[in-house]
Amino acid sequence: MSKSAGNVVGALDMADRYGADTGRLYTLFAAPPEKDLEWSEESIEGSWRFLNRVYRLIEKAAASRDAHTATSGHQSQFTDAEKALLRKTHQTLRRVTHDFETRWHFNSAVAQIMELTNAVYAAENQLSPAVRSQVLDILVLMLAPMTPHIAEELWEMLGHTGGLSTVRWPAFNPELAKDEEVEIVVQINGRVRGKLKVASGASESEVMSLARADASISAHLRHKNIVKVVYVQDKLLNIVVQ
Amino acid sequence: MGCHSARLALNSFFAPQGRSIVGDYKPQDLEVKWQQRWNQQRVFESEANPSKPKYYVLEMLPYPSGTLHMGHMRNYTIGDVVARVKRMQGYNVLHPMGWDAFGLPAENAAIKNQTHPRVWTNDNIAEFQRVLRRFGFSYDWRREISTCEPEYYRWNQWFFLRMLERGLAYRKKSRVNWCPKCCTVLANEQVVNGGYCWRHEDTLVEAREIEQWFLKTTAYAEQLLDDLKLLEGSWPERVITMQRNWIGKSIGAKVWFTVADFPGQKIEIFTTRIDTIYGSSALILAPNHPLAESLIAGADPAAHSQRAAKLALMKQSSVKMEDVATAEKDGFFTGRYAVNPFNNEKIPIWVGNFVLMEYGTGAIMAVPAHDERDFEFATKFGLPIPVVVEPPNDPNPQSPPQAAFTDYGVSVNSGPYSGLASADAIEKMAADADAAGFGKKETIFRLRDWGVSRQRFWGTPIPIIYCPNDGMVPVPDKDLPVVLPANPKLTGEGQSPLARPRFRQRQVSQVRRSRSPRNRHHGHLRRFLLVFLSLLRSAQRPGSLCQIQSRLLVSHRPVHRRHRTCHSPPHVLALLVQSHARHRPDFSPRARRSALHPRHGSQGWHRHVQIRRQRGRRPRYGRPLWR
Repeated sequence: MSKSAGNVVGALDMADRYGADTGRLYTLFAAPPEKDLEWSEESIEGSWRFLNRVYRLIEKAAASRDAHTATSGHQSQFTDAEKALLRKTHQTLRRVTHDFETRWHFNSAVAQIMELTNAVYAAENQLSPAVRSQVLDILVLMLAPMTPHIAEELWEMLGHTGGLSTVRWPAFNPELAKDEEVEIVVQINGRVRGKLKVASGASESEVMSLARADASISAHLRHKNIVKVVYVQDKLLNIVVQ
Repeated sequence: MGCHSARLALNSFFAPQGRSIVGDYKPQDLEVKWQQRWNQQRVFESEANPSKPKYYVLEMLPYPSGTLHMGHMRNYTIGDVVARVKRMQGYNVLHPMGWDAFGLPAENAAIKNQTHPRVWTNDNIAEFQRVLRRFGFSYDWRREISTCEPEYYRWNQWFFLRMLERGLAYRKKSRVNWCPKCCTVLANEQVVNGGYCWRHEDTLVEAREIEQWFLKTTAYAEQLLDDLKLLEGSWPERVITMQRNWIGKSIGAKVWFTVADFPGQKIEIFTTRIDTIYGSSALILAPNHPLAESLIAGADPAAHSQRAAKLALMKQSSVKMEDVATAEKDGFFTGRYAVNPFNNEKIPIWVGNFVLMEYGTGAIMAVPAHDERDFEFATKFGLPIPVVVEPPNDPNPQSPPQAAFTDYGVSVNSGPYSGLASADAIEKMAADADAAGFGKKETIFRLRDWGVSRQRFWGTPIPIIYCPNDGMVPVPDKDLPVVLPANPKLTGEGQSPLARPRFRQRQVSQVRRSRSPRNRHHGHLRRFLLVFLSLLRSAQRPGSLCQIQSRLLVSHRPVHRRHRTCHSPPHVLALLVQSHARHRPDFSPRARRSALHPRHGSQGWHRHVQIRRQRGRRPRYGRPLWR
């Protein structure tokens, strides 16, 4: 399917067939800037379908939008699904902002935004209007530099006037972006020696280094030889020592 | 709503019958609508605004030829995302576009179609512009430039004259491709099928020496190298390495060999491995080394005519610097011997095609055992291969050696220096040579001065007039621009139209101060030189005829992307050298950093560019096409 050199596909043909935004998104998504652009029909269709997906998502939301406007309420008022989606949204924003500020890795930024779009679809039925509108606003603003035409259209559909040229890049909310914490039980030779608060989904090595840093746990590790480590994600760390 | 996504999956681009009940995404319509609105509201036009931080985003200007494809679009899309993100982050973004519009393809098309290159160029520009506009890039189109317009290349000429005043532009003889049938200079790409003219396929292209203009890039070699440090961490390592290799600093020594039976003659060589000098089994000169002919002339008369013919042949078939490593080695013995100053041994003097006059001193000592090229040469021509460096942990290497050992090791068979580690031997032998007066420590660069003149038509005319009485006379600033003739006869043969009498007449009348007849310099400047100025020109107030008084305005856009410029060391160097040259007196490290360092790009353009309108002056040429 893919052959080398997107360098042979005429830009105007592309715009006529899929639109400029799809063409733009494709060139950003297909490869990081330092790699060559491999031509792939699949990849351009992926970009096209993604923009259609976003368009429909927002069109639907705009149709059901009620009069009251979004206010960022207190986190405790949110349902679990809303909390999860807001976390995902602000984490995505944080990563995309970072990608734009330092690495200019557009392909990973696009991938993040695609993932977020999937998450919005999955949670669609469980969102309050305020949360939905906050999430969709951020989604559109993140797309604005890459696919500016559709972003303008969607921004208007979301009820904003005045166009995107006056809108600032959104700031992520560090509180909302924070990872959920879980408590992990740490056992040494089968006996509970302590508990650790770690970010949900933390890896074994991250948890191990936290365990070593913990005074009461590390006391049991001193002068001992670690034979084996059993780690159950988000639950348990069992260290066998001699 | 739950089944929404499932329905969407079916409703793909290729299944229009599966349309959802809500409306459809119709990019063609909405893109036109928003582009019109952006234009009406002039949202991408940038003006000086001291209350905002600045950001200058610049993509390499396209050369308007052929069709814009998705590979190009990627480049411009990346630039556009940067510009749009920075605008959203509150920066005052300058994002201009323009055309690198001079060049040989336009001239060739004009020769073929019997039109002016401008016609072909402007047709292409119109098409390119249509495509870029269709993609909605956020350019300030008021600042559009085209390098073939007099209002643009006027500054190019102005810049050239400033470099001339500072001694940074000079003339020297240099080799060009010459087709004896066209009677003209050919560009490298017009030399086809391994050395034939593109239009006369049975005519061999000659290497001819003619006077060319050069810019003194080498004056900045050390500084350029230092400045690469400023890029570390923010530019791809690969690009920095490419630049470093292009500058090619070698620390070594020069050594003077005397010529046996030729009193007073010395041959200077450069080597980075003076420690291997006891292993040299020949001296090899570049074919155009100034001594080559006299060495042959004074040697064995019986072999003279044969040797002279061989030398003439080798002079003609030039090997380029980038091909030296791969070209088939060729050479011949001159009939003379040189004396190795370290051990007074006589070694033969050869001429070899892989030694370049342009690099080092144009002569090398061949140490076959410790240099790959010399090894190849010695193997081919049966020269001895004495080993003088051994790997420290392998004292009994194969004899004779099967390949050159090029690493550092321990000196052997090297008189008083035997047993020294290579680094120590280099140090000591250079010092001893210096003390004895037959050598000296020296640093050389691979970087060459930069040939900027071309003998074609479609380029910036060089603003110099030749006068039989006064010699070379720069065109005064007030007479700039020196414009290209409107109706040249482009044949691709003979002299450039810039050298023909009618054009010269016009130039003569431009310089009113003297009555003596003058020849204008009948060449033009290279494209690379033009493009640098786009950095400056785009930042001027659009539509104004003004003089650039910038200190440094180049805040480079981030170049992490795939960008043709990055892959072309000479091009990047061109930018850097010219920013140095332009700002030589007060070029602070901080200003340089902002030129080079993406993160400092935001320090921007407005502060560094002061625009001074020239009072009471009107353009003397027609209305610019592109505004």
